[in-house]
Parts: sequence; C-alpha cells; structure tokens
Amino acid sequence: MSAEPAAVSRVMASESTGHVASEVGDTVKSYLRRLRFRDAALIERLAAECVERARRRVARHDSAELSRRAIEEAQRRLDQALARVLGVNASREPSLIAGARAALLLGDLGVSADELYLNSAVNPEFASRLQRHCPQAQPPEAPVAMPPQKLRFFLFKSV
Amino acid sequence: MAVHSPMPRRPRLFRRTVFLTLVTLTAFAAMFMITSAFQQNGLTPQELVLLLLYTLLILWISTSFWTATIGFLVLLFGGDSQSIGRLPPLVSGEQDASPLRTAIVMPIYNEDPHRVFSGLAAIWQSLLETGRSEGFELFILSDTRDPETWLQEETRWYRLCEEFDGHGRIFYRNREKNVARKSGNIEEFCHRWGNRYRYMIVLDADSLMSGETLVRMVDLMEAHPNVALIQSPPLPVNQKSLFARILQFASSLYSDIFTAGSSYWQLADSNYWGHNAIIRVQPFVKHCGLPKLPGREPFGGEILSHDFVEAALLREAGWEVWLAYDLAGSYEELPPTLIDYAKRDRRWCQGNLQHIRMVFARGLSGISRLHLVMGIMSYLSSPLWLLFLLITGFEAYIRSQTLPVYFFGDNIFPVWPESYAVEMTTVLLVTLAMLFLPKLWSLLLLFTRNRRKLKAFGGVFRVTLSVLFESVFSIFTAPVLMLYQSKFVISILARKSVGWPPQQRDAHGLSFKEAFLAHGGQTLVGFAAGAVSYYYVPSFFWWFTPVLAGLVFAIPTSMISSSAGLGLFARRLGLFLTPEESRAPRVIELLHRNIERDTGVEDSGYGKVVDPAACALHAALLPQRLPKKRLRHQLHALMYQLVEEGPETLSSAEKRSLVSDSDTLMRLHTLAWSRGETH
Repeated sequence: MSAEPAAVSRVMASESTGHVASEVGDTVKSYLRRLRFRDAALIERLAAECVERARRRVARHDSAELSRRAIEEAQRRLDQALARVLGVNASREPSLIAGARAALLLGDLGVSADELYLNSAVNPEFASRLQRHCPQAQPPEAPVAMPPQKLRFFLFKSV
Repeated sequence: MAVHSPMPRRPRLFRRTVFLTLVTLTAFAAMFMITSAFQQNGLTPQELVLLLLYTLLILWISTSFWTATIGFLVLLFGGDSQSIGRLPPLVSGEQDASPLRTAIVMPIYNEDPHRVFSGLAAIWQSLLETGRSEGFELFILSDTRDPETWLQEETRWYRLCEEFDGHGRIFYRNREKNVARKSGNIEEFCHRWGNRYRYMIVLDADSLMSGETLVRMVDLMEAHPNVALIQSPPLPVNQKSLFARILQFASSLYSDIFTAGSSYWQLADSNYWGHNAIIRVQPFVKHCGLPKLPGREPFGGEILSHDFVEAALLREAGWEVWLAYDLAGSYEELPPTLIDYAKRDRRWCQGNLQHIRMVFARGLSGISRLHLVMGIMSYLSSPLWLLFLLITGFEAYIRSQTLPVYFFGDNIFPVWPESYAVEMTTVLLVTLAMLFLPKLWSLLLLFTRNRRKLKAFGGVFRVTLSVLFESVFSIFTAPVLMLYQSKFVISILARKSVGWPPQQRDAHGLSFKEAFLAHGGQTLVGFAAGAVSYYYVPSFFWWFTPVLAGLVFAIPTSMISSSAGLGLFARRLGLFLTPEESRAPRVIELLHRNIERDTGVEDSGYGKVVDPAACALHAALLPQRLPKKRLRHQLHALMYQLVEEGPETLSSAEKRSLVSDSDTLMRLHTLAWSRGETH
C-alpha cells in the first residue's frame, strides 16, 4: 500500500520534471529564435544543451530559475561564439561582445546566428562585417579644458 | 586669439548712430506729445508714472519698428553689401591647427524619438546629397531621463547608423547626470571631444537644416577666421494647428525685414539664439565656460538662457558674432497651441530675467548689454503695458470725477479747459502705426521684389487676407499673452523657479477643460475689467474693448486655434500659406518621408528590456563599472519589485537606475524571459 503511492509520486515527479524541462526547452528555443538562430536542428540541440547544463545548478521544481539559467546559458554560448569570431575574451570585453550581439540582432549583416555554429572555422569576412556593424556610440575622446569664466558684477555678488 | 576684425569701425559707428538716433528721436517725439497733453494743469504723480512707463515702452516699440524699417530698406535695395555672406574672404597668416571637421550636435531631453530621428535622418541625407559630407559628424547629445525614451533613442540611433552606413560618423551619448541642462550638455561635449572638431553646428530637437546650408556655414567660417559664431535665421515649418500656422505665416513673411535690419546695425556684434548656428569650437571652449551664479534660482544658479551670455563672452573676447540674415535652409518648429506657447514663454522668461544680473556684469560692451536688455524687455514689456493700462484707466476715472473750473479769482472771463485729444490720438496712432507698419513693409516687399515668392504665399489676395486675419488674431492673443507674461514675471521676481520641462511639439486639440483651466482667470479678469470700466469710466471702456475682447474670448480663441483640422482647412483655402508649404524644400520633404515611413510605434521600456537586440545594444553603450555593494542590493530589490508588482510601481528614476547597470539589466532581461513575459 505504502510503496504504491511512493512509486506513483516518483512517476509523477519525473513526469512533472519532464514537463517542466519541456516548457523551459520551449522558452529557450523561442529565445534562440529571437537571437536570430534559424536552423531548427541547431536550435533543438542548443536548447537541450542549455537546459541540461542549467538543470545541474537548479533545484528540481524551480522552473522559473531553471528557465532563467537556461537563457543565461544560451546568452553565454552566443557570447562565446561571438568572442571567438572577434578574437577576444568574452569576459574581458563585455561591452564589445554586447555590441557584437546588438550588431548581429539589429544590424544588416545578412546572416543568421547559425553562421557562428555551423562553420567551425572563423570566417574572416563575417568577422570583419560584424566588426563594421558593431555600435560605435562615441569617438575617441579629444579632451579640452573649458574653465568657467569669472564674472564680476556691479551691485550683485561676483562669481 | 581672435584674428583682427576686417570690419572697419566707420560703417559700424555710422549705422549704429543712424539707428539709435532714429529710435531716440521717435521716442522723444512721442514723449513730447504726451507730455504736452499731460502738462495742462501740471504733472500729477500718476501722470509722471505714465510718462515713465510710456518712455520705456515707446523705446522698445521704436527699436523694433526701426529695425524692421531699416531691414525693409536694405532688402528693397537688394541686400546689405556688408553682411557676412557678401564680405570678401579674409586672408589670415595664421593657420587653424584644429582638424577641419564639423560636429553637428543635437542636444535632446525627453523628446519624441520618432520626430528627432526622422529629422536627423533628413539632415544627414540632405548633407550626403551635397557630396561634401566627409568633413561632418553627427552627435546626438541626449540628456533624456525617461528610461523608455532613452532605450528608444538608442535603437533609433543604431538604425540611423545602419541606414546611412554611419558607424563611426554618427554618435550618441546619454549623460548620466544632466548638470546645467542644455548648456551643460554642450559643455560636456566640448570638454570631451572639443579638440576633435574645428566647428560645431548646434541644433535644437526640432531643428532642420539643409545640407547646402550646413556646407555654406562651414565655408563662411573658413573664409572668415575672425568669426566665432554665425547664426542662421530659422523659419518655422511643419505646423498643422491654426495657431501655429498663423505664427508660422507671420514669421515666414515678417522675419526677413527684422533679421536684415538687425544684421544692418549689429554687424559683427550680433547675437546667438541657441540653435541653428555654427560655432568655432576653440574660442567657445576658451571663453564660454559658464559659471554657476551665486544665490538660488531664479537669479542665481545655472545660467538658463546661455546663448546670449555665450555670444556676449565671445564678443568681449574680440571675436565676431554674425547673423547671416540671407542664409536659407534653416528651420525649426513652433508650439502647437497658445497654452504650449505660453509654457515655452515661462521658461524663456526666467532665462531672460536672469540676465538682469548679467546686464551689470563688469567689462561688457554697450552692445552686449543692449542685447541682454532687449531680451529682458521681450518679457518685461508685458507687465509694463499692463501697468500702463491700469494707470491710464485710473487717470481716466480721476478726470471723469473732476469738475472743470472756468473762473479763477477775480477774472470775469471763463478759462476753457484745453483739449489735447489731437495730441493723445496722434500718440495712439503713432504707436499703433509702429506696431503694424512692419507688416505692411513685408507685404510691400513681397509685392515689389519677389513675384515668385508672392505666388508661394498664395498670391496678392490671399496673402493680404492672411495678413489681415493674422493682425486680428494677434490683437486677440496679445492681451492673453500680456497677462501670462505679467504673471510669469511677477512669479519669477517672487523667486518662484520653474523646471525645464520638455516641450509639447505635436499638434493636439485643446479640450474645454484644458482651455478653461488655463484661461478661466483671464476671462474673469476681462469681464471684471469690462464691468468696472463700463460702470465708472464709460468713455475709457470703448478704447479698452480690443484688450477686453481678447481676454473675454480667451477660451474659445485658444480652443479654436488649437485645431489641426482648422489649420489644414485654412491651408486648403490658401490662407496663411508659406513658401515652405507651397513647395517643400528637399530637407523638409525628406523629413515628411521619414515620418511617414515609420509609424513611430515602439516597444515600451519594459518591452525593450525583453527584446534581446535592444537590451544588447543598451548594455553595449553602458559604461562598464561595478556598482557599490549597497547599490547592488537596492537594484536587486527594485528589480524584483518590477517583476512581481509591475513596472508601474516604480518611479522613472528607479527604472532608470535599473537600466543603468548592465548586470541588473541583463538579469532583468533573463528574468522577464524566464517568466514568460516576452510579449
């Protein structure tokens, strides 16, 4: 009698975990599509890897946390791939990598994110195009002092 | 060091002497007439005050009238040979070492990104079409505090770069703290990138300048190394509401003679209007760092209307400041309703009244002080007119209560009271003539000098009708603005400061409630003043009716004139037509195209945080630094408040602090996705 409910709850737990994983997998897939991944097989594989890796760090039933970690993993993987293309260290150049991600997602690069994964070798043409489209919000500074003028007044307190 | 001015002293001296003599003589003549009317029984204290007020007002009107009249004559005879556009280039031995690069800078503050970036795209495209864009860079200097607008600006900036392949030439930065508002914004730009540019062309959020004009301005600066600043006269465009279309028409038709006249007597000592101007960066950086004035606002603190002060500082340092009255292709927009116009006036009023202190700055030349005084008088004249009207009414009442005495002492012959109705009527007519003649000058100039432009204004009949309607409209709105500006001046003098709120630039019809709240008091004043004057001084009442009508009808005037439908209907009838409406210049055409091409609908701020692209772009533009531990915890708490209780529970400043830290931003992004809030 007592073993049956335990088995049922085990089965239910595993079913529920599977359900959670599948939901999280769907979220990650949809996130990957927003990251301009187009290849269905690649999306499937990446999503599964991201969920799997996230699951190792999260308590069993915390689906929101699992989802968050899985998305973070997807971001991390994209960033690593971009860093590889640009020849930089992703953790040392977070702005550059964020810029590259923006260029990939907003820019008129004419390629999808699949390019980063499907070709194992770095495509220099793609790298230079990516670099060209990276946001350059500000030019190098060329500072000059602009001292406040001394104003002296009749009748009023001077500066 | 400023290059020695090629402008000889003689024409400068001659022109200013002529101008000031005309102004003074006119004022003296009017004063003489009014004094002779007052003096029949000796001057009473209220007559003395009236005389003083009238002197100030007539000087102000006369300055404006003679500027317009001289401008009319200048344009009638083919323009000014001594204007900056016609002076021969100055050959200088000294070479400017700074790189020949021009920054087009647009400071923005919580403006509609759709309009701002449509305008910038039009300007840049127009510049590209000149084939001389290589020496220019575009800088969007954002002081935007609202996080949603900030994120939208970034996305639109990136799209602009993509559209024109402008990476590395079109820049964007958002200041962490908007110290000293617009002047601080420009100052920070100069401080960080001043050595990168020889010139900067300062735009306003609603400015529009054609590529040819930008190139021409740089050419003029290159030809005149002694010039630090050239101001172009911006014409209002793109208006839809009746109110703004009437103002746009008036400005388009009348401003030519005023700018030509100003340029005639000011020459190399002209003024800066804050935008649509080119500035030589080195002298600007050296001489125009603005200090914070001692004391609190409104007279102390940051200098609000920085432009006049910067121009004064440049002039005092020996540099030339010109108004290029004949430079076309420079445009701006206007507030769409009477209420928005008054709101803008409120800010400008404070900035100009702050200049009362600057008038007393040591070492300023007479012309610099005159510029400041003219700015102050633009606002101070309203309470002076109000006071003048009140005392005139009081004086009329006193006179109506005084019985005439015909026999003095033992004299058996009656002494008839002298009538000075002729003198007083002449004074009134002269004053009115000086107010309305500039409109006639502009019309005459249009009829005689420029047939093509006349057609663009709708032809003889329509433009004349438009001038008549515009004059009636200005009679109706003048008392309303007089009361508004008087209220502003009084509240500012009572040390009530005003913020620097962003402007409402889109056409929007006013509801009765809005109009009633804004003009209810004025309507009441109109009825009360009418009743009092009709009861006590009926003869004065009839003279007073134009002012009373403006006040009594303030609500309907404001509501009706705010209508875009009526404005566009008037346009279809060919009324208040401007050449820019008849045939839009290329840059305006481009602006319209850009506005139509894009609906302007954008994700909300939270939507942008969810969007991986906008989020990545924002993270890329944020400075990389680790916030202090305490701030990290605060951000963490705010982040969960946003996720659990919704973005509406956070203030704008709290939302801004959340999106100002890249780690928090990315965490918020992943949290939103993990909670399925992706739509």
